[in-house]
This record gives sequence, structure tokens and C-alpha cells, in this order.
Amino acid sequence: MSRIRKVYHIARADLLERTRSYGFLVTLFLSIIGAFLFVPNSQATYAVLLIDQYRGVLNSAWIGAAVSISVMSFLTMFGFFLIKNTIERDRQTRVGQIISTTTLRKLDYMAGKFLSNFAILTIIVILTFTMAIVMQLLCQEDLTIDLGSFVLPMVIIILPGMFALSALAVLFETLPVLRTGFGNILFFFCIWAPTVLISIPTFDIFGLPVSSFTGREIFKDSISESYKHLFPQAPGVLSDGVVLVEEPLQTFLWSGVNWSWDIFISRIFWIIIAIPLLLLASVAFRGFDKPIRKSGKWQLGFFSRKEVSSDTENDKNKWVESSNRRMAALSKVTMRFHAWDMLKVELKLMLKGQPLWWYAIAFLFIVLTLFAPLPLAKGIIAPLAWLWPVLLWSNMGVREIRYNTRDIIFSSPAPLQRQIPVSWLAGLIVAVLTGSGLAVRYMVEGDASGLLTWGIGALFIPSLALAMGVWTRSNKAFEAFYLLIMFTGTLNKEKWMDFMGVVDGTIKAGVPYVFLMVTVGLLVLVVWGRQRQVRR
Amino acid sequence: MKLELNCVGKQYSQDFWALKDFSLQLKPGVLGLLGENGAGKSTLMRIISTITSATTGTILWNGVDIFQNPDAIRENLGYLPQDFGVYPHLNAVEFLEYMAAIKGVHRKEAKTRIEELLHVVNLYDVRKRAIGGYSGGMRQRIGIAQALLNDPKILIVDEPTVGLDPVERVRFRNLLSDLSGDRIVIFSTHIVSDVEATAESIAILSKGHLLHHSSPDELLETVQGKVWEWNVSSSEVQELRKKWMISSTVRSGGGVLLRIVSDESPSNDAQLVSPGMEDAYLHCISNHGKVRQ
Repeated sequence: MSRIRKVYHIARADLLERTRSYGFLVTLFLSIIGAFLFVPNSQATYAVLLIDQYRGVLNSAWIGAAVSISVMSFLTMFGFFLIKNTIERDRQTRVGQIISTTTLRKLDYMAGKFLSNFAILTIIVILTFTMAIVMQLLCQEDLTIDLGSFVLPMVIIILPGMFALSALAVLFETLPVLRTGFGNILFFFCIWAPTVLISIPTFDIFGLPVSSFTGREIFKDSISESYKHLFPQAPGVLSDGVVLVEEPLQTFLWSGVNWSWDIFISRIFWIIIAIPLLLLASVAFRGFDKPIRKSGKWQLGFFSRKEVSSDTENDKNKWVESSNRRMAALSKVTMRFHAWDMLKVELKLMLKGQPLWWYAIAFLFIVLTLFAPLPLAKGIIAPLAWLWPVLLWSNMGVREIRYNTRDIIFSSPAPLQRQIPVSWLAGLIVAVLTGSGLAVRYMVEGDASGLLTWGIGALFIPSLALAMGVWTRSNKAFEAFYLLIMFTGTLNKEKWMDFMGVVDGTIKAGVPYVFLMVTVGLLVLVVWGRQRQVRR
Repeated sequence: MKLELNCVGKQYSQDFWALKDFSLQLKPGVLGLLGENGAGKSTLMRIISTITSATTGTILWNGVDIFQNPDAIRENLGYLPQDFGVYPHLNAVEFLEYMAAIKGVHRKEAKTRIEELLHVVNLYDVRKRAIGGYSGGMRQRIGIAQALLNDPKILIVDEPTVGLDPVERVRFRNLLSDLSGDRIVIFSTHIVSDVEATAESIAILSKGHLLHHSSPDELLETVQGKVWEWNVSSSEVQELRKKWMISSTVRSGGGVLLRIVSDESPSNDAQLVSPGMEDAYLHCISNHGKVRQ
């Protein structure tokens, strides 16, 4: 079999497996909603692309640009989280062990996985742009569909970016440290956030023009030029993302980017970069052998554990007749459920395996929140203290699926009434403990409303984690969403996303009460979702 | 103590029933469920264990409908699924403590019970080690221990001997025999010898239907006078397979000793022998196939 055929079949099988999953349907649904939100109509109270108090007439050019910029901002994050499980799936399904025994080269395997990633992202991009065309017709500001204004940004700006992202996701999966939830956090803060926050103009590498990963400047330069031509005295401040507007924006006509060869050439870098990323991934990939587990010496005694690994040792523990004890001679038991016992084991399960330094850093955040100047404590340290346990919370509601303990747990008495409240409570305890610094600070300051908001935030976190875990069956959905709201809300000072109530004006605007209602809604979703899981 | 299954069925798609019109009454003792892969054994066990809903029928546990009141059976249930996982960072004691808490076993009694069960499954010496490092057989034994935590009145074990080596398999059979008496044990497998060694009654399933339910002796009776042994040359075996139902082949001297299940003697050289459970099982499955054709 030729190498190309092998790569094709790896990509094909992987793509089929992914697209036939429930999660992919949800992704497509969210893409449609995304496209809907990326094209706010004339009455919307937000904008995704505006210059001063103006937006473009909703023609194909403006919608194509707005959707392109939004896709490159949001899909790069959600898309990365979505595709970063292709090798993990082979590991979990144990297909990887079969693959390991074939003559398949690692580079070919990586290439197949990369192509599958790229195909998934391309499907989502095409769907989003198709919806954008529908949105143009629905908005009815300009009913002339110019396909080029949708296709060219998609092909020239977005797909090269998705090309690089697909290779990066494969690389992350091959490196043990980046494969985990820690890798997700690293991607979010070190790659995604700077890419979206920092505007980079087109630059040169060895004489080759390179536009920024998002390619936003290509649209922005063109929009600014048209705007300045119409309003030479206006400041021309261009904003993108989700910008709240007090009143409907005025409009001006922008007829689109002049798609030149220079722009096309400036995107080639993002296609080429995929090659070294894949080569690096194939060098770093260690196959599907069982990882060598570290001993628990860096863990607290209560949470440490010993390992069994040698076959000789296992042989000693064979189930032989000499160990026999008659079942009839075993002690009898009575059934009496204790929520406290359950909570203890649930907490142990949640915290087990965390290294000593994890607790040290969590403790450090508490101490820093207590003693740092209040603005710094509220604005930076307290949010970080609640970011730190994200990987503990993201396991909530997912653990039974992830570790395949579903059948034995769901066949136990009252799986919904017993396990869900206790699991939620364990998540809440982690939130209360890790965020206790800010709570104490509010108490010392006598800030009752701050304390109340903090309490609502503590209730919101485990509710969100459980709901997303139960419904998406993946820890990544919570990780992505939680990081996003923490980033936009508390760190980027967007009060409507500020569930911690640390941004000025959040409490006054009644945001905590909105989050309280959302929390109740999430808990309803948890119960409904788990009910569906228990009886399939 | 009684478990009644009345016309239980499970439909997965418009033209596929994993289980259809399954009716059975069970009293204390070991029921061996036999059937090929896809016969509906696991579906049946999952329905009784309340994790899969039935499309038709009712199941009564001591007169209580378990579809209406699943906790009635869950309180008394021990379930070892065919494919189950464990939390790899927990050690055996912690995992069993977790399961005991979920099942609602009294705290102090759970502690003693866990210790005893770890002795029973011979994992006591490695009880403080993370389960993630256990071998397949050791994990299976942890599964058995968790199923027995609440001293269940009804124990459902789905293909429990998969992953166990021959010595462990024998040990497990002995454990099952030991367990029966005052509880209902439902034990599924496609390894006939496992059922032969433990079951007090046998149910044979094929393509979602119950083909036969009786005691092992009654099942054997169905093939009395129908099992033959015949020594043939190796070159004849392929041709004879097409004509006769061969339950086993053993190399013997220069030839092959065939064991054939047939109403009539396959040859004048064939010897009538005592039937085994495997012969009876094949005969039952084959008869059902003929009836369907």
C-alpha cells in the first residue's frame, strides 16, 4: 500500500469516526449559532466589527469580513479543543496498539491525523460561511450575494490558519506534558490569548511577507482606508470581538478587500509551518506503549499511592486456592447511606493524584489574595486562584464515562439522588477552599455584597462543570468555556461575563443575580442530563 | 426471593431486536446464560441491572416492578459488567470504599467487608497500590469484589472469566458455587465449561430469543444417544465438516478424532459416547437454526 493511501485511510477512518459522534452534531449546531451571532442585525445591542460608531452595510463583503475575523478569534480556540483528541481516541479505544504493530511510519500517522483535523475544521468553516450567506438574506440590507466575498476570505485567510492549527493540535497530542489539560491551559494563555489580543501587522520572514495568524489586519487596513476616505476627520478606531453598543450603529458602504497576490503570498507561511510542526510531532511521538508512571513521592501522604508494574509481582498475587476464604463466612452488611462518607470519597477521588506542588501553589494564591493590594487581589490573583483547579472541576460529570465506571455506578441505588449532589458539593468545597482568600478579604473589609457575589461564583463553578461534563461527556468543553469566561469576564473586565464580581460595576448591574439564575438552570440541566444517562 | 421476567424485549432499531419476548422466573441458585456473541445476554443483564430500559415487558423483583422502582433491585444488586473501568489513581481499598459509599453500605461494616473481600480475591497484599498498575486479572477481581460489597441478593456477572487465567477461572467458578444458596446468581458466558461447572439451571439464547431453559441434566438428556466419536484421516475432516455438526476435533495417532452430534450414526466406525454440555449446547443452537430456516 502506498504511503499516500495509508495517510488517506487514516484520515478517512478518523474523520468518519468523529463525524458520526454526538459531539460533532453538537459542534455543527454551535457553528450555526455562531454564524448567527457573528452577523448582528441593525437592532442588535452588540457588534463584532465596528469603526468608531459605524459598521458596514450588511453586504457580502462586510459579513464575509466579520465572520472571518470572528471565526479566526473563536474557532481557533474551540476548534483546537475539539480536534485535540485524535491520537487520544486511538489510545482510549486501543486501536493505537494495533496500529503500533504495523509498518506504518510515524510521520504518515501524524499526517493522517493532521488531515482529519483539517477536514473537521474545514467542515465547520464551510458550514459557518453558508450560514453567513443565509444571514445576509435574512438581514435584508443588501440582497446581492457576492460569493467571492465569502469564498476568498475563507480560502485565503481562514483555511491556512486552520492548516497550522491542525498541525499544532497534533504536536500538542504527542508531547506528554501538552497532551493533558495543562496543555489546554497553556494553549489558551500562551497562544490563543496573545494571538487574539495583540494586533500584529504583516511582517517579513526571509523577504516573504507574513500576515498575522488571524489575518485581521488585512480586513482592518481595507476597512480603515474606506472609512478614512469617507470621514477624513474621524479617529477611525476599529474594534472587533463582542462589543456592546448603547444604540444602533450608523452604517457606511465597504465593498471589500482587494484580494491581491501579496495577500495570498502572506498566508503561505501558515501552510508551510504545518510541515515542521508535523515533523516535530512525529519525532516526539512515543507510540502507544503504557506510560511509565511516576512514583507518588511528590504527593501528600494521604493522596499518594504505590504502583504495581512488574509481572513477577503480579504473579505473586494470582488468585490461588490458598487464599481462599469462604463467602458464607464473610460478615454481613446493612445498607445505610451516609452523605458524609460519600463526600469524603468523592473529594478523595477528585484530589487523588495531585502533586504536592499543586497544593503549594493553591495555598500561595490564597495567601497572596489575603495580603496583596485589593485591586491586584481582585483583578489578578483571585481569578488565578479559581483558574488553578480547572482540571479538577473539568472531570466532574465526565469521570464515569472517561473511566468506564458508568455501569457499576449507575446500577447502584439512587445514582442521581446520591451521587450528583455529593459530587457537586465536592466541587463547591474545592471552589470555597481555593477561593477562600478573597472571601476572607471581603469579610475583613465588611463587603457583604462582594461576599455574596463570591458565593454565587463558587456555586456557579461546580454547576457549570457538572452540566457541561454530563452533557458533552468531555472535560474539554468546560475547560474551554470556563477559561473563556474567566478570561473575558474577570481578566478582560467584561462585566457581563464576570461571575466572580471583581470588575467595577458588575454587582451594580445585577450580574451576580443573572449568574445565580444561570446556576439554577445549570443544575436543572445536570439532573435532566444524568437522568438520561442512568437509563439508556 | 423471586425475579420474574415477563415478555422482556429490547429494540435498538426498527428491524433489530437485541432481545425479544424473554420470559423467565428465577429463584435462588446459579443461572448460566449461554449464547453466541450478540445473542442478547449482555442486553438482558443490563436490563435487569436497570442501566438499560426495556422496550417491552416487565421485570418484577419480589413483586415490585423494577422499571417503576429501580432502587428496589439496586439495593440488592451486585453487578459485574462485561466491560468496566476503574479509577486508576485510587488503590483497591479506596476504590472499594468509594463503591461502598455509593451503594450505601454502612460505614463500619464496609471496612470489615472490604478487608474480607480483598482476602477472598487475593488482593489484600496489593491493596495499597494504585489500580492503574494492576494486571487485567487483578482488575477483574476488583470488579468481582465491588459486586459483592453489599452482600447482594441478586448477583449479575457478565462474562466474568474473560481476562482470568485458567487457575483464576477455576477459582472464580468455586466462588460462584460458594455464593449460591440464598441468592440469585445470573452468570453469562460463551464458555460452556464454565456454566457446566457452576450452574444449577441453564438458559440458552440465540438472536435475542430464549431457546431453552432447564437444569443441566435435562439439557444433557436432549442429546442422549446423539453424540459420536469417529477416527478419520486429516484429509477427510474438511469434507465431513460440511456434512456433520462437529463439536470437537482431537489429533489422535495419524488421524483426527471427531466428536459429532447427530441423530443418526455418521458411520459404522463411529462410537456412541456420553454427551457433554458443549454437545447439548451446539445441538440446541443448531436445531433452532434449522427451525428458522
